[in-house]
Amino acid sequence: MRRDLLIGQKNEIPAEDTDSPVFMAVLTSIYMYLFIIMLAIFMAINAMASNWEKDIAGAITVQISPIEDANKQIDAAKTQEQLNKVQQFIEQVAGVDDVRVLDEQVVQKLMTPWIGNKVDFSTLPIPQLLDVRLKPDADLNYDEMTRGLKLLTPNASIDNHRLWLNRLIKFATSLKTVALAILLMVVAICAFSIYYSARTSLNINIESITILHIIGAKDDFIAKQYAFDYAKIGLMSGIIGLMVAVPCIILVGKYGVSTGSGLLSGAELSNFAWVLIMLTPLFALFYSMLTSYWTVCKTLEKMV
Amino acid sequence: MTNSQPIIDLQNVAVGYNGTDVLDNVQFQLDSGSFTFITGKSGAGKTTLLSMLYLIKKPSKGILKVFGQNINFSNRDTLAQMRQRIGVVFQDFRLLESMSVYDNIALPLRVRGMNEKEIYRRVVELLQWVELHKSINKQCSTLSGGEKQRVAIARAVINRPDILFADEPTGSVDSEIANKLMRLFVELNKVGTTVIIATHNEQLTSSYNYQRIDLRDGSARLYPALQHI
Repeated sequence: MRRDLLIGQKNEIPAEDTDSPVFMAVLTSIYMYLFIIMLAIFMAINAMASNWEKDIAGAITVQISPIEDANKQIDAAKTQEQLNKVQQFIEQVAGVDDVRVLDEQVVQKLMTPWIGNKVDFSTLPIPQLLDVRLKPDADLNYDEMTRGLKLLTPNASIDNHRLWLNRLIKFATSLKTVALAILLMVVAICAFSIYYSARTSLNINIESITILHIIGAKDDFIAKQYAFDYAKIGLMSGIIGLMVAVPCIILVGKYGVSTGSGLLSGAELSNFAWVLIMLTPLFALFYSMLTSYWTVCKTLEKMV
Repeated sequence: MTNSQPIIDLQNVAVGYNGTDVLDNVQFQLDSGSFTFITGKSGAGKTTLLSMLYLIKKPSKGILKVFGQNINFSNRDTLAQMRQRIGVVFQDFRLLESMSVYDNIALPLRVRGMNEKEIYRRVVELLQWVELHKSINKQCSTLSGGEKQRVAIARAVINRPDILFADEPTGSVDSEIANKLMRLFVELNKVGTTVIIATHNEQLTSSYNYQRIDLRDGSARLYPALQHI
């Protein structure tokens, strides 16, 4: 297939390399598909990490282990007494916005995934949990708070979520870095493909290029012809890549939701992310156009 | 043209391929509006000299001035602009075979960024002059040798060039067409175009009283018109 027939435009450089535009279009479509998938993964991980941070950074959990001495009723009363003291203490701490005691049913629900629902919870030493919400930008001194709680009761401990959250965020950051690296690699490979394709085409069409030079064509004139061709290939590939990638993203997204994993619930693409994804054909257009223009200009400088 | 400065000026020029000079110490000046034959045997360096004069090749030594500009100090864009004032006719035509007659002739005007309406007007006018108006939409690969030659000439002159180069223009056509072509070049010269024809055809050069640059043993010698006769 001739290049000018493929893209429906009259070209001053008759294509001798008959199949390379089709090959480039297929290749670039694959690159664009990978690019969009990696972009979606990158942005989904980013959103997920941000949601974790947002949800957890403004909260701490205080746990009070139940007293288990002799009498169950007395133990329960003692534990309740400790719970009230701790709640009063935390409410006084600067930076704390709200303290809420998680009722028994909520705690049981939280534990069900680990111990199942066939267990009699009344026989288990279930701890009391306090959900502490912090004011925005609260600068809490966790060491001082821990010391104060230990003076009230040795059974109290703080979980500020930071420790395991940091690990998760570290993991998410690693995933993000990998996704970004693959994204950049796809962009680089795409640039190399355009570079070599344009160079090959120039070499094949050397006779036509020389004639154009003889009649006074500037490098810019020839480069624009190529840039126009590659822009069309880029746009077409971007659209094809998008058409294949979007259903994949939607399917994976639906599968993620259906697993019911709270961990993945934040990995949703924002409207901004979708706009970016939808703009990828335009990115492909400009990227292909500029890469081919630059390649042709640089090659012609050495060629004739 | 009345410009006193030579349109082409070579001072101790050497030119060749891959580091080997085919011509050395070449020195001559051509006035604007002149008609010149470049003669010499096959391999004497006619095509090499011509390709340097139409600015596709740089001299390896010496100074070459075209339109008063030293090409050693001209950048690529300036050289391209200078080439737009030059027309070249090749022995093997060097047309873009897959394109139509119209598109081949329109090419130099498109390169200059002229609008399509004006391009069409000029191309049609020129096609009538070279008697090819009926073949306007034909693909060049389907034309005969003589027709291709006329398309090549039309492409070379559509820009109304200041200098017209022809490399063995009569080499691929019969004597009748060769005479027609020569009359065409003479006509163009009469309207002020500087014409430079490279040929090894002694019969052709002796039929016209024009100055001649003879290439022999790697050097060039200019014979004025009257002396040539």
